[in-house]
Amino acid sequence: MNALRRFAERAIDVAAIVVFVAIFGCVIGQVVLRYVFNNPMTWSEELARYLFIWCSFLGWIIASRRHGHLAMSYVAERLPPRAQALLSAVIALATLLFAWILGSRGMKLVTNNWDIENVAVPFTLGMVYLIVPLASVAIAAYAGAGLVDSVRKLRYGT
Amino acid sequence: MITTMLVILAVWFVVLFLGPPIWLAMGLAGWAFLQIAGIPDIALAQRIAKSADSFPLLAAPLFILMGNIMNSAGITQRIFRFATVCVGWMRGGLCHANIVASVFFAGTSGSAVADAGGLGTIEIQAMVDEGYSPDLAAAVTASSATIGPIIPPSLPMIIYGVSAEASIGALFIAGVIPGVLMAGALMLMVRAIAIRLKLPRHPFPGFGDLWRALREAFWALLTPLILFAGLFGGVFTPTEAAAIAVAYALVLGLAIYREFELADLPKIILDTVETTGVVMALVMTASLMAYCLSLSQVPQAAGAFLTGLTDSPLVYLMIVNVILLVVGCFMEAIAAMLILVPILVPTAMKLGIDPTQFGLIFVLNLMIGTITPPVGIVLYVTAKVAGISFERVTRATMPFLVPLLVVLAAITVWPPLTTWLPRVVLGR
Repeated sequence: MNALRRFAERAIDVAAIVVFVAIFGCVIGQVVLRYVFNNPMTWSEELARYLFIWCSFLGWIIASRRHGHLAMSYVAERLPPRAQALLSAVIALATLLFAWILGSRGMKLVTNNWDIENVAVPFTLGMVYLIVPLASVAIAAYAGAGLVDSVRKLRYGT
Repeated sequence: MITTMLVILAVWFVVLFLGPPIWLAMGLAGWAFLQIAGIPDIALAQRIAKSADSFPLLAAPLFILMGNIMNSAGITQRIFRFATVCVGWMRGGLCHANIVASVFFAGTSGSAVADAGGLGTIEIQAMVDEGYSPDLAAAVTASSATIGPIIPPSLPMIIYGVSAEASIGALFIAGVIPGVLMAGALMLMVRAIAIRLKLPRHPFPGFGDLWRALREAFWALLTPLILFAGLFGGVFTPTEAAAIAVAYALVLGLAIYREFELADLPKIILDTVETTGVVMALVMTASLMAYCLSLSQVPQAAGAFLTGLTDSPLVYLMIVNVILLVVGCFMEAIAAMLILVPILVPTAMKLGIDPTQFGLIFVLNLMIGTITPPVGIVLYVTAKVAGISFERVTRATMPFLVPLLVVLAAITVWPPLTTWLPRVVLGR
């Protein structure tokens, strides 16, 4: 389980770095070709936009892992530990619900768009949207881990 | 539909204070609306994914990367040293240096949190070491951090520009004058306090030191000019200018300051992707909410109500200021922006208010909201950095709201402060 987790997180990190470098490459390449060689690329902008969708969801996953998402924790931090644990269990359950909705509807989005060709890049829109269900699985996994954690805290104290 | 939406908004608002990730509260609120309204909820996945499909928005992660590279290249220390040499000889010198450094830093960063958390660490340390109270140090740091997203580049302006369909380039350039005014107003405030508290001052450094500090910081100070050169006459889009700025930061770190190695890059990129994810999770779920709002007709009803109140642009701007200041106290800035833009912008356009002026007013209000309790993310970060309680930072920062509100009033009443410079630079 832990080995799987390590492998998955490593893969996500590598994917995030590759995607981001590719985005930068697209935009800077577009600038150089358009203004220096006066030869605009047709596909760079479209590719950059699609990579940005991936980058956003990969970042969403990484922020979930590092507990980096913004929240108004001001009230919750002042609650007694048991109430805090209960609250985080409820939040984890709500996250699981949302991940289920986003993932299942995201899957529908993928199948609906699987054959829709793009103008300038050699993959379909459905492939772009594949990151939606993938990210939902990851978000659900972290929420599940959080749920186990807070239930343990509820049962055995902190 | 309007009642349904208002009920959902009320529930959502209460739930936010229980501390779930803000994106989760917005995502579920959007889903609840789609369920009740009987709209196929594939729209949820589609709206969320589609809102990241934007080339202008892409400027945001590139500017975040630029800021992160600059930070690891040791820019922050150089900027603060230069600011200290420039204004440290005034009474309350390090307070002034803190503010001036924020202005310079703003040109290399687009977020108030980055200013408070990055530059703030150095500033507060230096001030406390010299005998300033941590309260004052934190207050000056927090209030001057709001300059970060007003002087370009600016993440909130990118997001505003995308959602209100305003020119991001024009917004960037329009931020320069208000940003400098904010610094000036804050420095006047510090001056008044410094005389009363008899704060210390540095001896005048001499032109040799001044020259050395300038040479050290010179390439970092040049960053905003690179950006401006790119935007001048509308040659590059802000996204392209952002990519150029990243390339510039890389050259700066690797070849000029040499405090940065290629081996550091993967970690920096991962941090950048994380920050992008935090921002985009908000943007994507807030776009879902904005979509539900538009289906519910709430913006139209609010628009009709607002146009009924007044047909004077100035009165409308005052109303908008009050709404945004109140909302800014309770809500995170990006979420508030994406939800309120479709409600407040159409009426402003109908009244003939300049889109750039309105954008600046919008962003400045919400940035002031980051240093007002109970929800002030910059206060929160600053309290952590200064090692004192949220309450103490809040109490110390309150007086510094006055100069910022004066600047807000100025750009509200006198449009040329925000419309003149973009017209000159962009040549429209």
